[in-house]
Amino acid sequence: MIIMALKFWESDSFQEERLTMITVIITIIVLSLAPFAITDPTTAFQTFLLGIILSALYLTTSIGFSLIFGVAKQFKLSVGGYYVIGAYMMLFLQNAILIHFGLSLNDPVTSGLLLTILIIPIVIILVAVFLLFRYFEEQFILKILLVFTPIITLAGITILSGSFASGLFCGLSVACMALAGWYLEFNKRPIIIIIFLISILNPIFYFIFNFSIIYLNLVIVSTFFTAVLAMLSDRYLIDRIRESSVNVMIITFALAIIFQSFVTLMSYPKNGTEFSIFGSGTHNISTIVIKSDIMNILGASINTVKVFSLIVFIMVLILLFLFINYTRIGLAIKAVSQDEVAASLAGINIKKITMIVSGIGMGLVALAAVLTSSYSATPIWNPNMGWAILIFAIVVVTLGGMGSLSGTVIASFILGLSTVFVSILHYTLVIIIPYYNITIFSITFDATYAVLVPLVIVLLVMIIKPHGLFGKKEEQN
Amino acid sequence: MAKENFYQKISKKLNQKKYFIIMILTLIFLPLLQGVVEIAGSYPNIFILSDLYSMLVQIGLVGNNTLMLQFFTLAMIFAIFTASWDMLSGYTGQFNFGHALFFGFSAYFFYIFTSANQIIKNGYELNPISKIIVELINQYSLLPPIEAFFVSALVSALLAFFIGLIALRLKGAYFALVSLILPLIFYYAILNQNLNIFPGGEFGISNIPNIIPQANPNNPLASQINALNLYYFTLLIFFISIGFMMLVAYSRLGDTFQAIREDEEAAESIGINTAIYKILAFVISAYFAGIAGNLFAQWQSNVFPTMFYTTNSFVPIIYSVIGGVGTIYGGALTAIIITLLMQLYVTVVFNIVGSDYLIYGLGLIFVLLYLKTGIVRAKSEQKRAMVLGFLFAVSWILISNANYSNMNTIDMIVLAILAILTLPLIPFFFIAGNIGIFVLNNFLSLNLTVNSASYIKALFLIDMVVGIPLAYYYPKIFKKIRLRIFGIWPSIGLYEPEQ
Repeated sequence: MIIMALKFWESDSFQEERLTMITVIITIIVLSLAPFAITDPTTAFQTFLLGIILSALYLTTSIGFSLIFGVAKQFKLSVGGYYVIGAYMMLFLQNAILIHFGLSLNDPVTSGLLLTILIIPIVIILVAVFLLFRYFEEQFILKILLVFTPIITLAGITILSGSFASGLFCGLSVACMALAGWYLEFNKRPIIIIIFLISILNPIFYFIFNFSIIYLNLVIVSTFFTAVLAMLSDRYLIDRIRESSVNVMIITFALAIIFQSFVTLMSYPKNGTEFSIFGSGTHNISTIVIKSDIMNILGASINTVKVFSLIVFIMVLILLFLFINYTRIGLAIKAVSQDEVAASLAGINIKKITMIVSGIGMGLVALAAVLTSSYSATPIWNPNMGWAILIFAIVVVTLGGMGSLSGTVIASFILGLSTVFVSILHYTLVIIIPYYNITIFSITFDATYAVLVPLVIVLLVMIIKPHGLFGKKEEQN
Repeated sequence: MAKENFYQKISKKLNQKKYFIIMILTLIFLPLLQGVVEIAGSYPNIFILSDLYSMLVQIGLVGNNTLMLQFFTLAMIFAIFTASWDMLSGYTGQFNFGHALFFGFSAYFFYIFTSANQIIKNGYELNPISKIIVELINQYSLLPPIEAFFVSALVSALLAFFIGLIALRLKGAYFALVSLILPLIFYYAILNQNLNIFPGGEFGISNIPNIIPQANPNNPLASQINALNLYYFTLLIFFISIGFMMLVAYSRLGDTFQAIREDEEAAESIGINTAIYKILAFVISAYFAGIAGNLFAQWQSNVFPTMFYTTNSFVPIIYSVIGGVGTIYGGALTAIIITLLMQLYVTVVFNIVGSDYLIYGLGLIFVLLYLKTGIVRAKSEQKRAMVLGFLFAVSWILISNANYSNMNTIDMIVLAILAILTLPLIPFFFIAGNIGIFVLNNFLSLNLTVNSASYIKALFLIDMVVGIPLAYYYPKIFKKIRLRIFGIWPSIGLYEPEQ
């Protein structure tokens, strides 16, 4: 490991960035350790964890933006719109499902009955699948399974929960996963088998965990809905005007405005009537745990929701990393981001790759929306919260440098940690100027200044290093 | 050919610019025109005129002078704002997504320049730096409103100079991204209760000092007089600013800007100092945006921090792109038309929160896909389609809402001619109108009773939306049918091949 690190340190591609790398490492260490100098260790650790969580949020919302720029060399300013759509889709789905909690499993008779109702069909299905695989050819079986897996989930969860809507959406989520696996050209057999297993496990886990599984399925449905919307808009709207990057920015900005105003339209009662899908006022999204649940990690008390979202973000980012580096489509993405013409000569379908990247990017944004829309401070829950997200994405990409994924990762960490750090500063700046008869005035730094931190950082970056920390110079055409 | 006479030259030039001249004259004599329409409408014998007049009254175009003048004032304010954006982004190529910065900045400074003593007296909370600035202004340069009007725009131009020094080093899309953030710094800083940059905070300041002396409140026509005065003042500033910007744009300076837009490195290689010219464009556009901001503060008599918000900085972009980027009058024209439409429909479709930006976005996407370079540069086919669509919609509304009980034969004949001319389109209008009204009534819960003002407005909107594509494809379909039936064009020797 040390030899690898040393080799990496000495390699040619890294020479220019050595200075920035050093400053970055020092900044991150300082930002993580600085709270310890100011307050007691428990709050400092809490600040550190909150910083990590906020950085994960920044990262998830900006990686799509950065990826799309790397692949298609265009800025899609519609990040905010998809965020809002993802969040409100989740709200819509939850309102469309009337779930009653508290399935009583204490009664042995009902639980035994339910178990038998559940297990026997599953056993039959497994046996049938095994026999089918043995006697028929694989492609045919896989296509049949593709059709059947959602139906299994649908039936199971409808029976267990008693509401058709929840079964429908769980089946839909399984179908989405299957279709995504099919579209992304993974090897067919493992994907179908995995999804088949997921579809069977869904009712079983519902039996054990009640609402959580439906929640996860709803997350998947809203993510895929947003991703599909992004893919369609990329293919049919933006492909026509791909040459002019400013027109793309304007049109995606218009898309963001359309999405957010459409959601506003749907969520406000009109003329005093009650026609509104979402109702007005505060919206309550239930999450996998109770929102006020607080967890204790080494003395720091953090909402469980935030920890859960952190875990999900990390898992998803690891999956993304594996996807880009170890699959064929990931290889194609890397090829397109390096040289589009050569990639198309090699037989890669550029339109499909840009569609996929838009889908992935905006799907990640929707995932972030669903997971964070119940807690975060800056996106306050309203239909126009997309602009704050757009600012996040822009700031991260400006700081990290356009076209560099590692830059976005590092920039998001810096931003998250510094925002949280500023929010715990409490000190007053006192100046005395006698000429204007003003004896003492003071500025008190507060938690409310944390909103300005990303914006000020952008200003500094513009002044000092306009290309960002790891930005490449623009290539000559 | 004989040398052209002096008068012939002038008449040729006037003929080229006839649309401009007509528009300028309409704007100047607008209040008189409203009176003329009222007089024309009071002739009951000429049915068409009186019915049209009553419909216009119902819609709101005539009859209430104050409202219309206020609409037109707002339209011109946005026209100046849009033209200033177009100067920077259409001519120099640096797309600025944060033009609202100068809009709000100069409005706030207008208030500070005119009433710094009020700020200190009322004890608004300010942070130390702002306090120093306010006190300096109070001691040395408390200005009457008319001077503050121009000086605060100068202040925002100064801000643009400093921002341009830093930000214009970024190219193209990067500059657009960063400029999106700049006004939001002010927005969040104003909303922050500890960092009071400007007085007023979240709720802004109401009752800004007026430039124009207000009429005596005891006078029953006071509001009309105020609206009229503000209208003419805005008109004057509108002509001056747009005239100045067009002079700059159509001169050698404008050519330099266009050279920078086309290819910056080639411009540098010729010897143009791109940095200086870019900053110059930025400063000029900021000045006029500042003037627009001052007028807007006058119009609504208050300043809010929402003047800095992203939606406000997207307004000139929408108008310019729909009207045609790179021409200054395109954006101004679209601003006037769309603001008028929005204000007319404010009680019908746009009392639903959020629908105005929806329509902006949809219109923008439509224009970017089909009329790629804007309305002003549209091909003649498309322009003809727009005008014909408008006329078709008007004729259908006249036909369907006419008062058939007492009519002259002349009016019957006129209506019959209109019906025959637009015969193939009438079923489309009928069906589309009914479906549209049904949808609006049931899904958006508007109450559109037949023959009310909002009914006519909504119907007109639907018919325009349906009529323009129909008018675009109507001649083409006609041509194809003619070709299929007759084989050749039944015209004198011209052969038009099948498209």
